[in-house]
Amino acid sequence: MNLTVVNVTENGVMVVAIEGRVDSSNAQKFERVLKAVADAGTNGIVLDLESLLYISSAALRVLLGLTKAQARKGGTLTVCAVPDSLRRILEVSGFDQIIPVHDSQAEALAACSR
Amino acid sequence: MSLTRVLTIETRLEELTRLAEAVEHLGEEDNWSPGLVGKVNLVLEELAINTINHGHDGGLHEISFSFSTTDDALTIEMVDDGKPFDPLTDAPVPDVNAPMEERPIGGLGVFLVRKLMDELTYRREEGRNHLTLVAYRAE
Repeated sequence: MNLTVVNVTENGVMVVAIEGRVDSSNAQKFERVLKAVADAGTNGIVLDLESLLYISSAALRVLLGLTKAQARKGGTLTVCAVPDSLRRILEVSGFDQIIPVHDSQAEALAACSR
Repeated sequence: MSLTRVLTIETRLEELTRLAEAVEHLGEEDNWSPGLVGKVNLVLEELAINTINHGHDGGLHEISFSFSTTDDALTIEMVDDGKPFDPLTDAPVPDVNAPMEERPIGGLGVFLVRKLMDELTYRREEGRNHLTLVAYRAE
């Protein structure tokens, strides 16, 4: 798993690209890194999932926790570029009802600035 | 194309990597769609974690996975000697339509297993859990 901050916009939205696998073995690390991003005071977080190979329910739990934490402080969390292999998992878990899903980074950023 | 493979892991969390590698290797060998690989990976990880964390009162045990595939579907039989656990009846159903504030963190694993697999049958036989999972190749 590799997390990289690929973009920070003028209005403080941070785009984080996630590569590789997030499973039970590294979900805690995933949580720590994302929490650090959220604690950096950013209003919006966009997770670019284009290169994410695999996500387990441990990772979904982290995303749900982060969404709640963002909502509490008036921020947002969105995801974009969800690979076909993960789309169905987000759908059946109901996560696509909770976390806004966009096709591309540009769309996600446009939605954040609205 | 059809193939049959068996993988046995020990009830230690470190073994999950080997399970995931085996699934990915099989998927490549047998030409699974990325969606099928993602689903099977998630489902087997969830089930294996349940057995590893809750199946026994200590000691090292084994979980075996038998994979067989046809042109239409993939069938996996998971066998362990843990406490009786039927994922079809022994786990609560989370409300995935609940608003975010009401969604508990957790309780999703077995639900995803039920939703992502096309067929699921459970039987307890000679002190072992036998769970048969079927996933169709067509999405």
